[in-house]
Amino acid sequence: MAPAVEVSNSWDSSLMPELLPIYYKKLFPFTQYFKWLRYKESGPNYFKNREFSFTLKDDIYLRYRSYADQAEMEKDIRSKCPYKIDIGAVYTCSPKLRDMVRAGEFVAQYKELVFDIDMTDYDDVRSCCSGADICLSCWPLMTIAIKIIHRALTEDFGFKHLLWVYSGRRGVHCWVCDEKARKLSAAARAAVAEYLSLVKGGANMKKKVILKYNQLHVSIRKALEIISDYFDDYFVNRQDLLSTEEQFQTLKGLITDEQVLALIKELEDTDGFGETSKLRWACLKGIFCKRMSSEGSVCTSAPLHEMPHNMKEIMLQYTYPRLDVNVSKGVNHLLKSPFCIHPKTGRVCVPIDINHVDTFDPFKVPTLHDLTEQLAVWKGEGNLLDYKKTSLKPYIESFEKFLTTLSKHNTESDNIVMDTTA
Amino acid sequence: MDFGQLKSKRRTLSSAFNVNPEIKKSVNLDGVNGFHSFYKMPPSGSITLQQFEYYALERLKVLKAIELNNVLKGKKFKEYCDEMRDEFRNLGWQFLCTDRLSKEDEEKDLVSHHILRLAYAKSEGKRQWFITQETELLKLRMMFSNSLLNRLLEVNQLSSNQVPAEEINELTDELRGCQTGFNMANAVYYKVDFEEVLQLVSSRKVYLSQGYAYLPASELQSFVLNKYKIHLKEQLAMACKLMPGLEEENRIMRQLKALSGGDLGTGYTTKAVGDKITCDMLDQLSLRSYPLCMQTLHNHIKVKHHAKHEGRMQYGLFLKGMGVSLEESLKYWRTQFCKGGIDTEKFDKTYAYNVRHNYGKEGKRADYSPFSCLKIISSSEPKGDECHGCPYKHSDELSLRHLLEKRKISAEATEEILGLKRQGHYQVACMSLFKATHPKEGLHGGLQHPNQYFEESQTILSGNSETSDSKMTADSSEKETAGKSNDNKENIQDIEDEFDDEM
Repeated sequence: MAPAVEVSNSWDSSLMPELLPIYYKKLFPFTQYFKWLRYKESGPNYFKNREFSFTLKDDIYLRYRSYADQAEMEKDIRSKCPYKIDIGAVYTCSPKLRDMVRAGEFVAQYKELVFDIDMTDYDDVRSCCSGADICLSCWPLMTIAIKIIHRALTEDFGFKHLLWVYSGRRGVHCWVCDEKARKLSAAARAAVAEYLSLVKGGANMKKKVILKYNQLHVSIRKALEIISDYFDDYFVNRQDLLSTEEQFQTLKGLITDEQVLALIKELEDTDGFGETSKLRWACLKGIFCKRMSSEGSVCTSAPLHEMPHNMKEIMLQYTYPRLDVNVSKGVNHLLKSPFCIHPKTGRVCVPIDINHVDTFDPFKVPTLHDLTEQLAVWKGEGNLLDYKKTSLKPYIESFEKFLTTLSKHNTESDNIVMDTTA
Repeated sequence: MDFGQLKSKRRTLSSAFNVNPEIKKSVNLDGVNGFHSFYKMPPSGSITLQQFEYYALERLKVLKAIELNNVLKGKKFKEYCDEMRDEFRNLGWQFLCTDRLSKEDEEKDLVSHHILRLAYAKSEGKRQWFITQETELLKLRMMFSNSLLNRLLEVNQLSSNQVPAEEINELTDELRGCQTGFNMANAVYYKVDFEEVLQLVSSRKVYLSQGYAYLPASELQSFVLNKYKIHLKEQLAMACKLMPGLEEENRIMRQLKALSGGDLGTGYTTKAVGDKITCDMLDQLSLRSYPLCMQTLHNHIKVKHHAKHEGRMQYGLFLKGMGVSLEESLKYWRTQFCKGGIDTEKFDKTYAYNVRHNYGKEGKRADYSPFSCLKIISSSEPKGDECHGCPYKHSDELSLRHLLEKRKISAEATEEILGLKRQGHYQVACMSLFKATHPKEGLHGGLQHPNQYFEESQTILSGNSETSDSKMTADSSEKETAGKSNDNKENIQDIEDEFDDEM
């Protein structure tokens, strides 16, 4: 069984008031941040009409803050030193002036299409920890989720500018920044989120994934291919999810295929399944293989994603991404900003490079404490930008890379528009 | 009333009818062969106030009939269509089932649609109701008419986006995965932006690539309906914005207000909050008078001493609807959550706000109504270990069986309920439980609301049906319209009633 300990960098949240001013003064990437949210091509009011909201010490909540430019934003953030910054929608007018327009004229117009995946939603399929805790045994769930959602958003929906961010504690966020995504209606956002939701039902619905027999949507097929790379290792080695009789019963409760149930009975009456997750899982896979052969397919060891549909349902129930759809639906829904500090862990909400998502380790993400220490002990060159003296450097560089593609693409599409009009 | 005159006098009315001047130019006033495509044109000309009221009322009956049948739908589709056809005929709207409309029918159709559009623009709930029924109406009309769909497609210029056969060939596997009964031989697909077919996207019934949906010819109907929905939604939102300009025209506003009545989607108004029900009575009440959804939540909270947000909303508003006072509610939630290890301070900081919010004491101070069955069935489903929602819909059979066992009903009744669940008749299933757990007959006129279940149960159990203070619209209408309407079918009586207080 995997160790159920959180590898925690010691963090004392009472340090926040002391360290946050340093972070906002020296490290927070205001320039890049402004460059992102300005969306140059979308007109001068885009940044001005954007809502920011702060959570200050003792949960004091300030909504509807907005700024004319980078300088004004810097000044406000530095003076308030928010524990948390949320980014909201771009409104029809500047949020700070909302009381000066008639009711009904202050409306959320645009926002990135966002997704929030939270480890708490996986409590019924992880044995290592629960609630807000995470560990390296359950983190692969996030890796799988990122890969599946990323593939669907880019290939199926054609979006190009996805910013993945570690939420600082127990989950990840995705910001889809394409112009088309920012303009989506609430209904369209809901539809995209639904398209990506497969695991349904609460406490009274044991079987949470039901697929149509003999018909598999290509997005699910591709998700299964991704899951196949992780499933055995995750299920058996990291989570050990069949070691108790109760866990084994839970899984058997998901099997609806009569023939498979008969084969299970048969094995139980003869050799038995064994006692460990490894043995039990191997036996089950064998049974599903047998089931396939009975349908005419020759199978000794089929890849997981080609298993019979009942097996697919099981794999999906254990590992398919579980989105908090309410966050995605509303245009005006707020989401924690990248590069915030998570008050409970002290970790920075850093971008996750999709090309290196497999090696992303949430416990190696720098904490506010780490960063200020690194600054303090820095002995090298003096005129270097402060963030480059710290372990925040690769994350800011990854963010810059994202911004370069974003602006390059937008200039390109500008040119195309100009070409056609010329 | 003279629409033309009104238009010049108060530009707002005409703009409320049709707010997009561009559409006016591009669509022929005569519509497409007698059918006004998406009712884009506002009517012009004059009608009398009586006619105004008559037309609107008539259409409201049609929409109500649709709502009623939709809730109880679950028969074979063909039977449902036949039933609706009869229904329209009985209401004198048989032209809805034909291709060709007389001048008079056309006017009736167009004017009544636009009047109701104004009447239902006011609140989100009403708009939603109107859109749902009107969309279902268009769906039925497309079933009844052979040429309507094609005419609508022409208007929407879809033929140019047909996917070439070679491409379909290459995508056989992908396309087959989205559609039952996929057949290469006659596969016709259209490439449209995914935003045009959101319903198909959310149910994964369409192949998507690079933001385009490959729309099978068989789904064209849903494509048109979705467009219609979006169109109505925009138009209603615009109409709502322009309504304040109409306020001066008193007679019309009064009628419009009366037309849409209370929130039809909920059909329930909160009782005056009293101190009759205290939180130590809830355990007892939940045993016999709670519908299964609320009993499940109540028991869940009793055991786990916690509930997630959606559950707190659903149960919290139900309690409010029962007449539990804010103080008692706070006491209930605090007691439960504290048993679960949340201290009073944390409760007051994190959860008390929500409870007060439900009672209209925080935020924008809106007086929230308890959730109706329709809302509970259709809104966000439970996930993880949440247990809000409708147990007939959101439980699997085994769990539902366990829940029912605790109610100690006969095996027969249990099987009947499970059968109804399987067919998707959730509200009917709930009514069966009511019947099985109460003496006398079942609920009056269908079940629309958990609080209705509770109140009728209480009335029966206290053996005092005369003094029922139930405020269900369906209920009160039965009493008040008894003398007035003699030729109306039962299911539309409540429409008439909604007029009475206002006019």
